[in-house]
Amino acid sequence: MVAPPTLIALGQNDIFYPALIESLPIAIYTCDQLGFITHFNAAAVELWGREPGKGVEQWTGAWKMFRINGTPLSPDECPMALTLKERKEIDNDEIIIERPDGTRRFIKANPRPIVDNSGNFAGAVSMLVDVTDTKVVDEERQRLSAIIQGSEDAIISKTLDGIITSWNPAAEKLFGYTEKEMIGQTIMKLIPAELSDEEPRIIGRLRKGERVEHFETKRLTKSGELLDISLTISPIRNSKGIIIGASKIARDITAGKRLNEALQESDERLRMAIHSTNVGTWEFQPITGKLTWSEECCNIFNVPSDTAIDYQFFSIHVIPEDAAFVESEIQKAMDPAGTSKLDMEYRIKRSGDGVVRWVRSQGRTYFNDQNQPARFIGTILDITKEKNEEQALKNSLELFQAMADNVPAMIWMSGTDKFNDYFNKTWLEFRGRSSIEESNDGWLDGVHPEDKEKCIEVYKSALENQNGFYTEYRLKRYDGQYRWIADNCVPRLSPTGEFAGYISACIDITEIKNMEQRKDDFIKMASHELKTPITSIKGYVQLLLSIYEESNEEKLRAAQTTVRSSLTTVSKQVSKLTRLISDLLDMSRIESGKLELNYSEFDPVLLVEETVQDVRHTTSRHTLVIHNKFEGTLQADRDRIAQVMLNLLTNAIKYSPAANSIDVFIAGDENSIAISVADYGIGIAKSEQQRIFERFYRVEGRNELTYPGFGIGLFISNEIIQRHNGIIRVKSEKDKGTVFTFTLPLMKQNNVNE
Amino acid sequence: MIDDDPDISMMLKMMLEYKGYKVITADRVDEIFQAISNKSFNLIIMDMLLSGINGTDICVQLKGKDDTRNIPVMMISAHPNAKELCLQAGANDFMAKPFDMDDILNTVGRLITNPRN
Repeated sequence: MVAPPTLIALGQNDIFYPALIESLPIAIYTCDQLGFITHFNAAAVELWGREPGKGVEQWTGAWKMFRINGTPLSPDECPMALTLKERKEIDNDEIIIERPDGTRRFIKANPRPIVDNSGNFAGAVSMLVDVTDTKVVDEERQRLSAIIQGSEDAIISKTLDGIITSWNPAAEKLFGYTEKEMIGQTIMKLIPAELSDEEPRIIGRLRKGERVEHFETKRLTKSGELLDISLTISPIRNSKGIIIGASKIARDITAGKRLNEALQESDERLRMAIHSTNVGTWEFQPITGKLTWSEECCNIFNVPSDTAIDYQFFSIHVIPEDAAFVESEIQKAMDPAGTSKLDMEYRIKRSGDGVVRWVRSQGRTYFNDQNQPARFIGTILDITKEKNEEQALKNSLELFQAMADNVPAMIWMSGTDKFNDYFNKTWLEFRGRSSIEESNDGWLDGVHPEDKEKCIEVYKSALENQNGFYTEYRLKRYDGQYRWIADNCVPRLSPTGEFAGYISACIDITEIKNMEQRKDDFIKMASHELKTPITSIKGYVQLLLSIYEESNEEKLRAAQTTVRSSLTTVSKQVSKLTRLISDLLDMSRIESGKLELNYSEFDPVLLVEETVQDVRHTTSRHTLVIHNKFEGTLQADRDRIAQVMLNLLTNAIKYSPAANSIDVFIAGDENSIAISVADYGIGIAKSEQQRIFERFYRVEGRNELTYPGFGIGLFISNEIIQRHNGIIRVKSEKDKGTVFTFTLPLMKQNNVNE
Repeated sequence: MIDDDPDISMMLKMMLEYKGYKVITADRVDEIFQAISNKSFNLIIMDMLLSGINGTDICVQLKGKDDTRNIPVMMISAHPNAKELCLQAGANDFMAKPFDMDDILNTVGRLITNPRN
């Protein structure tokens, strides 16, 4: 279809039209049949912001073009192009052009086909009208109107005579009158009679160009109800600045309204509070699957706030260990049969840094009328710090519990009253009683009757001053045996430093007490043992002195036998004293681990014979017999082995006062030698046999105590044999006799003890 | 003279004999009573701890029998608490080991001349 030409063709040689067009304040340009620009005026250059190349550029001189909706418009689709292609007129086609400087103009294009003098199609001319300014004003007005129409506040405009010129929907809602009812009416319709003088005063202020702000007054509604309202009134000026009327914003400030505002405020405060506590909020719409996260929520997951979020996105951030739990909790909360509430703690792996955090989600589901979960709303909070603290506390509590139960000490604890209310496992196991039985004063039943009074006294006086104390008492063990207990008690303080009761660690010191007792006995015995040879030495020396003092040659000769035997005895007793002192030294050497062995190779049978010979002198009653089945040499500390032999032989004599023989057996093979000393004396009870090698241990019993001795001989002997990698054993029967046997390797052994 | 340490009984025997006393020694319980039943004694010197028997027990026995009750008993010991135990058992006197020979001779002299003191 060919559009009819509407313009008289412009002759190339005609100078009138070009001059006319050039001077027109409206942009005009022409193109040839193929669309190449042939002509444009100054106004067009100004509009485009550039000068296009004539005969080079096609369709338009604009830098860029857009459709009115903002989408790009290519030059061959522009109005000029359409006119040329379809040879039709176009009126007021609105497009946007962009200048090289980036500014945009709204234009209306009006292209028309050109027909030359011969009636042939020769191109087109377009007139571009810049409508930007009117467009903007128009938009502004539309926007304002929309605001006024949409405002929750009643907005009314009126002339200075009080005639209403506009009335928005909120005004209708507030006062009950429709727009139709009020336009052209006087504002006095709203003013209660008693306030009729108010309007002239307001108008007076407006005339002076003043604004009236938050003026609280009363107005009547259509139904005659009196409203508390707040008015803000501004003058309206015309384009010349003359005040021609007033705009009025009315806000209902009656109680309900105030409450609503208060609610909004508190809502705002809540929002701020939520923001400041970093609580994230979220909303999930199960039906649409839409999930919305607040900024804080995004922060918790360490994702940018503009991230597209859905349920899947949330799920992948829950750590695998907690995924099933989280899924099931959410399903439960969205179950119409359930409580509809969610409150769970779980771990998430943050986006980006992958850090695992503990979070707590709380929420609630709202169901629609078909009982489907429509909205699931809630909060989320990062509780890692609290969790860690809680865990640390729990750990320390568990640690304390484990410690308290597993320390070898018996622990009790009391409050500020005098009753004990906690006993650890060790205590309860020791007592063989339950916590309930021991509580309050229950434990006191187990205290030895002789110690009970002292116990109570110590506790009471300490409690008066809130002091700690140390006391020892006997406490009945599960097996009925009384054991000595050391009770070391300290006051407990509350975190604020107040006295909160006592905590005490008790240990069974029976063994220590026994050891102390044995040590005491040992010292007594040692002094006895040392005094005996001294008594002898002192006596003989005094005897010799008195013989010497009263002597003449004859008397001395007569006393010769006495003098000789006295001196022999003195010498023997000095040796005995020396041996006792070396035993004491040996013991302290053993205790400090400094017992040294000087190895040599010797004939053990010879050694046994020597020691037996030595001992024979000390007893007139016993016959000592050696039974030897061994031949060979032994690598050992000869003096130390002799010491062991002497100890066993003297013990055999000492503990068989009623017997008259002692047998010594020597046996062995290529690797070891065994030497036994057998007596037929008082024997050692089975229960004592394991303990006789202990330090200070002496067989107890009324008669046994009458045997002299340090109680360290066997301890030293055992130590010497062990240091040689040998072993010493005892075989004994009460009232029948005792056999001590020690076995030694023939060759020196290298071991850690060397 | 009763002591389980033959050196001490021998020493006291020699000393007392040197001073003119007649001394018989014993170191076993059965010997003690055997000796006492055969002879009359002016004084018994006895160690408190004898191998296998307690000297205080013997003292109690001696003081409990009519024929021995009036024989003075002097006990000797190196044991720290011995004095009290011996006197409790009825001993007339006690000497701690190691003793001074002069003290022994003085006490022996006194007990023999005045048995009740």
